[in-house]
Amino acid sequence: MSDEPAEATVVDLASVTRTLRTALLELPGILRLEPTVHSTLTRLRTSAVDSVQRRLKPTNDGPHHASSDGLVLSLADGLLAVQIDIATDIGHSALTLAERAQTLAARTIERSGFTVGSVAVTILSIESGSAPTERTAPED
Amino acid sequence: MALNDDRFQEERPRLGCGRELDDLWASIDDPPTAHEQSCPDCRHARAALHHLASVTEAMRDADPQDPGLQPGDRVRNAIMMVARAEVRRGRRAPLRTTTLGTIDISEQALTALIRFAAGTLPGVHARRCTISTSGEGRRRPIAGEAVDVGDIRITLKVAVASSISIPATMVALRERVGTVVQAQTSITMAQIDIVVEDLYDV
Repeated sequence: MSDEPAEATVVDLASVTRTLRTALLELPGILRLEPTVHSTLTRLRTSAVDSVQRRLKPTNDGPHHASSDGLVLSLADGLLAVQIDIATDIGHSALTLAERAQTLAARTIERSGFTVGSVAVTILSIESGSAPTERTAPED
Repeated sequence: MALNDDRFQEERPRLGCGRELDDLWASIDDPPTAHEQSCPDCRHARAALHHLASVTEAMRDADPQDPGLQPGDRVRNAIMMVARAEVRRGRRAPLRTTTLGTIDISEQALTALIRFAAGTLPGVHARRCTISTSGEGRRRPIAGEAVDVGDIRITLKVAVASSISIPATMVALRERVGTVVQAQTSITMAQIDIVVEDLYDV
């Protein structure tokens, strides 16, 4: 048996983003995560900077930002801040859905070993019911 | 983690005089110290780093004009599509602040909700919907300015069937819009103005 103390596992931000995205899209009433200029440019920038950093300093910590359509994660001072942009189904209360999304995001972040800083949600669209679809911003 | 740090320390390049190159780089903008003035290794390294900095700066200045570094048409068009959608979404109205953070709604989502609510009433076709506040002569807040959810006034333009009673339908319409918006967002609208701008035959 090891004398090493047990530590929470901290995974990289990109994994948290993917997990969070999947969890949010499974929430009944959320139709899409909506791409914004912020999330799109953050994703392009993170990808470019990460690529350069991996070449220059392979031992460097992972990036402090991660993004996908409608999701931006920023790590600062050990706290993870999340911005979520959603399109909701009119059959569900948009405000209630946004609060559920906040709770779900906080739980997902904590399970990943990060400390929650803030979870901001913006309801960008309310639409009459349809199957969840993906609106995709540019690939980098 | 400690092992990684030790390995990283060992890999950090050192000058012939034993000084770490990173330490020299950290003070490259300061005047040379007494040691740096007398040490040939440090003098040479400072000169090389200054040259590297000037070359890097020249390359960085040239990058914006380099055709090979410009985003492709597909990326540019996709970014512009997202940007145009963002403009259409309009301003944001704060709905609630929880212990986790803020919840906002876009102006476009709110007007779409209002038009949807109006459209569920038989004999009513919702048209343009605008949101204003009472302050400063019921002006429309400028872009980027948060909408005060405690003071939202809407103007909804509709076309109605020629066969319906307009006064009774307008009462029902106000109630329907107010109820749906309240249920979806918790916003209680201060004023709902309705303009019947057209009649249509059923």
